[in-house]
Amino acid sequence: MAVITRALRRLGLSLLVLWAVVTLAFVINHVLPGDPARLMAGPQARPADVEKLRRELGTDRPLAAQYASFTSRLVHTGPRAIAKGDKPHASCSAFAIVHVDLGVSFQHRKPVARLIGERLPATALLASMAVAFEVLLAVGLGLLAARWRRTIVDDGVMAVSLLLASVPTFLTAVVLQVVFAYRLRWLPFDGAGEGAASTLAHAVLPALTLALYGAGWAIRLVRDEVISELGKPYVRTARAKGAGQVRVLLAHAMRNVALPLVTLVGLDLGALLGGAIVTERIFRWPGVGSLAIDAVVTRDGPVIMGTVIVASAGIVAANLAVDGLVGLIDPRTRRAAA
Amino acid sequence: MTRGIFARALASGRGRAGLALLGAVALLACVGPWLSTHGPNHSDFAAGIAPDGGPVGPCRAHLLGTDHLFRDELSRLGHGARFSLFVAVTATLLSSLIAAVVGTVAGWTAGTRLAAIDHAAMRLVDVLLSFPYLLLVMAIGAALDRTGALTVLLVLGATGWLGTARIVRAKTMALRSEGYVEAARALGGTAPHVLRAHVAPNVAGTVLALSVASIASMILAESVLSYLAVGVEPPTATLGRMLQEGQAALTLRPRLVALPGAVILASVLGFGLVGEALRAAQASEDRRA
Amino acid sequence: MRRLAWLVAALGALGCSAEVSPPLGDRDAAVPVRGGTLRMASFTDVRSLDAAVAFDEVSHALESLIYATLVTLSPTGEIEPELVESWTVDEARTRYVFRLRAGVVMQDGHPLTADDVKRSIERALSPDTPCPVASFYERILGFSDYASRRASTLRGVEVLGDHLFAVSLSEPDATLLAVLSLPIVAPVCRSAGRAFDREFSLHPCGAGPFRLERWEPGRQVNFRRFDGYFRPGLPYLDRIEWALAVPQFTQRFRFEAGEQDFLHDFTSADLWRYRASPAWRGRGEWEPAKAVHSFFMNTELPPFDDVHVRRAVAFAIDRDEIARLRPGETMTMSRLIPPAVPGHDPSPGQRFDLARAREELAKAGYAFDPSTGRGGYPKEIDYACVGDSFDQQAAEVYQQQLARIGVRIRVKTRAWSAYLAETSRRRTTPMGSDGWAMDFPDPSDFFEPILSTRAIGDEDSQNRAFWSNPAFDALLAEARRAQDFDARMRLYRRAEQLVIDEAPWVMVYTKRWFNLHHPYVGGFAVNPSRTQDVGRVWIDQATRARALGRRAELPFSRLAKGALAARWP
Repeated sequence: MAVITRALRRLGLSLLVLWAVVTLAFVINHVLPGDPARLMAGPQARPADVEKLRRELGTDRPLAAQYASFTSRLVHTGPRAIAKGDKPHASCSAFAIVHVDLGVSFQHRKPVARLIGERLPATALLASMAVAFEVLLAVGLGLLAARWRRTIVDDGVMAVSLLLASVPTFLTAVVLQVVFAYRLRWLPFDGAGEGAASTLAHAVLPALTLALYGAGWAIRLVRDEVISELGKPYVRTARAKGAGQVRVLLAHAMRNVALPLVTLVGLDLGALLGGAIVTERIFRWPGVGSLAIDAVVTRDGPVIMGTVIVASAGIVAANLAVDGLVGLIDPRTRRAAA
Repeated sequence: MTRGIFARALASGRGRAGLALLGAVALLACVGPWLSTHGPNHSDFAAGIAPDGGPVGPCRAHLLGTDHLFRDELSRLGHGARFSLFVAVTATLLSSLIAAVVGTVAGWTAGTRLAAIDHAAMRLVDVLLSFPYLLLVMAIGAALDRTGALTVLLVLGATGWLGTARIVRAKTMALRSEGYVEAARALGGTAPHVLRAHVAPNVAGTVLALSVASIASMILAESVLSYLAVGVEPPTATLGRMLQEGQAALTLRPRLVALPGAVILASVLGFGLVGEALRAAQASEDRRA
Repeated sequence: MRRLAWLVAALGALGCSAEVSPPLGDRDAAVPVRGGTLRMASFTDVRSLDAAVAFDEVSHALESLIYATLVTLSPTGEIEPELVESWTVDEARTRYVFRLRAGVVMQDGHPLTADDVKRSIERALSPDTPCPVASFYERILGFSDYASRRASTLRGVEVLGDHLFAVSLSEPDATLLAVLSLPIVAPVCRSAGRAFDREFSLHPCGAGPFRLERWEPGRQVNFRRFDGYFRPGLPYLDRIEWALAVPQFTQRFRFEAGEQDFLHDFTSADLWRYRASPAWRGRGEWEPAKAVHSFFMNTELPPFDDVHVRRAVAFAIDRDEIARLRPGETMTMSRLIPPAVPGHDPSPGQRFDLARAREELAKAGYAFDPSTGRGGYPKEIDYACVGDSFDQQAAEVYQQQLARIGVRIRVKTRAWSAYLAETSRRRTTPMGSDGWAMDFPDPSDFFEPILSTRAIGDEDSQNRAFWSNPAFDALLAEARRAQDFDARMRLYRRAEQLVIDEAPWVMVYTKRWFNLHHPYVGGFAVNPSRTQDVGRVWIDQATRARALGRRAELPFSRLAKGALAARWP
């Protein structure tokens, strides 16, 4: 029972956080300078045309009215027409009876929910690939360093991990592009490609860019955790019973390292689901991150708010999931909490 | 107490390597502009164009060559390093201060009658942690009319305290239940007094270690901002901006990317290593205590 | 530290061989062939594909594929028939009768009639359509009634028969045929409706050689051949794939790898190398320079309300330095009308003269002593420009040049939207980058929309200098009515001289585009009025396939394809 109350409380808090983020996003978006109508009309447009567009977009209404219509659209159930001439459910995404409406993009002239929905698979692919690379790197190098701790191998791995965590992603991205795409021509330079094979090939370099940065932290985590596990009595017992070095590392130590690693990687995944702005932009990856930065540049308000909300939702969901997962895997936390 | 940590940290290999890197960057920041005869924002059209159409390479007048606007690369690197260090260190001071105050207050009030303060602070941290940080910073940068060094460091300082505040809060809560702190409170010490006399010195080491590491991430963040051209206004030389501008001629003049890249890397790595060494020293201190 | 040195060395070694790779294909595609896909790319994105609305360079290029215009411009700048077969003009030059070509089919299968022409023009100029340049057509009879909703149709456009229509003007207008060559009033399918609808941009439909296949904003537009195109045998291509918002450096990579057939957006270093490369000698075409790049000074705000300060600034700008930033592409300009536009005068206008500049500034009361650096205008002046643009680089150089006469400016970079909104708001921005690109080949395009009193507004002012000069306005009105070409040019030259002397603008440079393509692309010719005009291009697919050989597919793509094929046979 206590577990359920706790879970509900946690969920409620998360929703509160999301609401605060939504409001913050709205406020920030509306203090941004610049005028979307002016931009849409184009640099050589005439004044009356711009004014007309402004009325059409509704950016001339008072702030409070815009906020009210934005929030009342955001999540609802029944058919709803907010402004005159609105078709009910014109820009909704329905999840059973719950409808999410993030408005309509100025630039793309599509419902923001649909727009983000179209970009989400690409971002999800990139995020999961990045996380997969990150785990591989972390476990591989982390175990290597732990197995030969306090040797040159350990020093080398630690130096590499520190280096990885210190290189800005834009530098990694450029180096990878020049080496693997421009010089060696092994991988595509940027873009997304068409078809499964080509899409996968296009995802490798951006995923690697993100993974290398994340691995900088994860390698260290795995190494430290494995070393501390190796010092514990049960490992010593196992070893005394004649278990080999590799078996001890993989079967015993790794099992306990899984927990912190899941936490770290889960949070990374949540953050990446909101789109990796710099990396997606450099690689022209058609994900939520590049959508977000385009929206900031073109002052596409509904898209800015939409991407902010989705990105925050990703982080909040990841937090919840990690909490839940850790609670499930590790009986100790459950008992301690209850 | 903190002095001991410093000595121990600097004695370690990591600490020394970090200091060496930082020394190199500091040297560049101090001596670089002095070695070049041209200011960082001066286009030297007299130096001309290289035979291949790009900016000129290293020569007597420009020890590291010039950039796409014929400005002295060494001078700009030096000023860029100065700017990065200045912004990162000041922003860190600001964020550490916020983190220390919020963290100790929250930790101190947690589980007491004033728990509401703790709750409010931690919910605020939750909200800000769930906000896509880069978008937030970009939006604030765009909303403030003028983006100068002050804007950048305020934005970074105001968004960089979250993680540290959580750790400080945990540490304060732990200290609160320590015997000697409880004794001090039982003897009638007021909260401000106990905080100052017993909690602050113990939290200081942690904050310090975290701060040094945080300078590294501030440098990274500043370089990302200026790379995305939402940082400080041109023509101010910043490392991220220089790297971004150099990218257009990447295959022709790789040094225009490599040099600012190396300086960013050296400073991030330097602060990272020193921070690491401090953390290790602090951890062994804690174990002994 | 050693690791760092290694990284730097590796980066250096990887980048160092700076040679551009040779053209793909051993022979030129001299003979037209049908079929194949052309791959294009642009640095900028497009906002809309609705002919009545979108009006920038790249949209123009894309629209010329979808829509056929009523008349068109020949490579020498003369008006030629397109959908219209012939026309007559009356004595008073206020009524034109046009005969449409028979048998033209629109992309929706309907034949083109005079009704479609009237409907399309009315749709474009309707008060509900955010047409950015409706004022080009304001001399059509009944325009103001129609634009202000007093009339439900445009009186000046009459349907006289299935293939016959007339356009009547309220007063003679020498530019009518030129503005009818713009895609703004190109016939659109019935699906476009009578009024503007945003959805139409997603499903554009006209009488042009290609129809839209797929459009992902910010990424890609694909076109497929329209088999019913009215010119028999054209177009040669089956498809066109046009990538959007691709940085220059990436485009060069794609071009060298054979993933892109044309190269139009160069970094200045790359352009230099292609031009210098023996393998590329004799290849590539320059587009004529048809834009003026300048900066404005807001004549309503201090210190630029004083003509002496404006003149001082104009004298202080050294255009040669700006041109050296992108050698070959940018050329200095000291007058308003660019080289490719009728009425261009090659003699110098505004001049670089530091002594005169300091003299003028002293007249305004801001004497500056260069040896001590004292004096000059006491406050910093904000200069607005779009971030990451060449204008920003130029601004960083102006900043140095103006400092020499004691005028200190602060470069404020803005996103496009903010730049447009702020510079066009009254009494807001003291100075900033500006410019104008040719809409149609007539000098009037460079005066009325940007510097006349009519172009001033409190918001969205097209006249960003907020410069109002009655003598200038009178000259423009006279020129617009005059029908004799030489007389008009003389009037515009006098108006241009006023701009040079009064200096609301400092004209600095003009830029021309270079087009490069692999030899297997044939039939490309530079169009005087629009960029990247590839509607009639063909591709020698056999030569391309030979040249690409196995380079077309990257090893990892092959690997991934193999792995996928193995698992899902």
